[in-house]
Amino acid sequence: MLINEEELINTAALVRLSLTDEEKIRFSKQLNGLLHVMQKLNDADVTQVERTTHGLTRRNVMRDDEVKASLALDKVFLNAPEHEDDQFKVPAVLD
Amino acid sequence: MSLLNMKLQDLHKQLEEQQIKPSDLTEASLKRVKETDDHINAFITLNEQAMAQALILDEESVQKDGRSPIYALPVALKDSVMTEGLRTTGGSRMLHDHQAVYQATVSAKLQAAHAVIIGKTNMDELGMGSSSEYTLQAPVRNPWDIDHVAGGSSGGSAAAVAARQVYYAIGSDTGGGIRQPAAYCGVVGLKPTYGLVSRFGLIAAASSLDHLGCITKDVTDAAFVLQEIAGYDPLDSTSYDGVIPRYADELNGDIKGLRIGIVKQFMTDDVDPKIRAAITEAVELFEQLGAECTEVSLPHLDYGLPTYMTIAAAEASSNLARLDGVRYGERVQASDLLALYEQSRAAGFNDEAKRRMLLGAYVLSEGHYEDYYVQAQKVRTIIKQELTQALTQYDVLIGPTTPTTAFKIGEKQDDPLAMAANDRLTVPANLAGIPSISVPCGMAEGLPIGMQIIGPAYGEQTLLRLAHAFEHHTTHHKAMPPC
Repeated sequence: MLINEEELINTAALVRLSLTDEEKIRFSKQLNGLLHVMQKLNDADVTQVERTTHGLTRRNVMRDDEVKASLALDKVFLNAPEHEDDQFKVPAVLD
Repeated sequence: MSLLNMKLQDLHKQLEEQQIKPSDLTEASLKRVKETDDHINAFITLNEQAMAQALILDEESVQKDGRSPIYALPVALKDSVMTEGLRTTGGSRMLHDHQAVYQATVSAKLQAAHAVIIGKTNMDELGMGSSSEYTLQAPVRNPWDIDHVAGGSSGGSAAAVAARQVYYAIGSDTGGGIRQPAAYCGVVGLKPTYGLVSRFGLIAAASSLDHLGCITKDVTDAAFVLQEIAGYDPLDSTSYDGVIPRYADELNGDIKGLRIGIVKQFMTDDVDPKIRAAITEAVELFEQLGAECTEVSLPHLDYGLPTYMTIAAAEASSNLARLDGVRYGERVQASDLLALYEQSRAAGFNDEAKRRMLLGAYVLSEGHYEDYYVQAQKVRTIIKQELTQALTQYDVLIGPTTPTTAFKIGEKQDDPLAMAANDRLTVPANLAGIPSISVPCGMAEGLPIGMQIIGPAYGEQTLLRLAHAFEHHTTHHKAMPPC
């Protein structure tokens, strides 16, 4: 087993995802199958090889720090599940 | 139907000569969608304003000289591309009623060219999948055989073009998302160089691998569409700031002396023999036309799939974090914030998105980061160097687009490994950021076969020239699905 149930539960907590018992069993099996294939990467000799973070190398792109209009508030809140007084509403975080 | 079979440049000419009106084109497209989409499921949302927009164009006197080649032509956009004022779901339950509040750059470019958006196409949730089955509605069905998948994740865009519902479509390609469905549906799919088309307003799947491109009936159409959507965008710092050539001008049929490398790792025994035979036949044609074809071995391409799976999952797990039921998206009410996140995400995502975010978080987590993620980034460097090096010796590399033709609906839905293996031949071009096109090159058991042509960064002209020469001497692209 490359990923056991405990690790799966910890990983699900990292990505803020609740899993049913059935999903825990199914995903655990499927993820092990996928990780098994991904482990083949360790057969490749990467001594002295740099990491690639993008398909094509780009220089850093700078722009002037100008004040510009941002998205209008009615648009910002158009798809919000709940909002109040120009703020997104969530359950109380502090007691 | 006859209008929908015409090439973009011929439609443009007829519009210029006032033989047809913009509304004729939209009317034909909407009629065809109505006739066929009950069984194809290519669309998630239709633009109810399309006809009104076309009627305005009928009345408008736009300067004829300044008209874009795609002026008034109806188009479909993958539903992960933001279209202001039109529902944009990304194929996800999470965003099932999401109204786009800004325009993607590609949508803005189409709008500026007075293209008419017919609707938003069905897709695998947020670009994750290879069959367009992991969607918020019924899966896309292949117009050649509705028991088979259309491919993915841009399956709706490919099926819509193949079924002649629209004149062309926009798709996105993270590991084959344009080319694989194009191959399965018997149409042309072009994934340009990374950054040639701005990604602003495309719902991100894996940012270093995501590309926008087009799906068309033929290569000339692809050249015209690419011309319209390519170019620098201040809203996407990774976009290309060089000069965009006039792609259609290069389609002269001359491939004499062109050095073509046939990728050995793409022609292995696990690739359907009928597909390999179709590629071999294409090679014979290229040789007759004066090209020099040689087999080339690129051994690290065998690592392409695990490299892609690792990087795509890692980047997806990061990109999906924004979908938490707070600022937008489906919310499951809960007593505390953590439960709200966890339950909203559990209810909003399909299996594939869940698997990728779990896999991605796992390979990025302490104790696994070096072995998986960093290792994959290094192997990516080797793959990229191998391809770049080969493309100094050869002008283009060719092989099949997919190892099989379109599989049956449901066949691989619960087998993520088999689903991923399907992308084995398309992922290398994403890892290297280099352009690749899939063109129809034959049929096997009633289903289309695609040939892939890969070129160096910003070498779209060469790809298009070879693809066009192939098309000019064959009739595969003229085959029509039975629907």
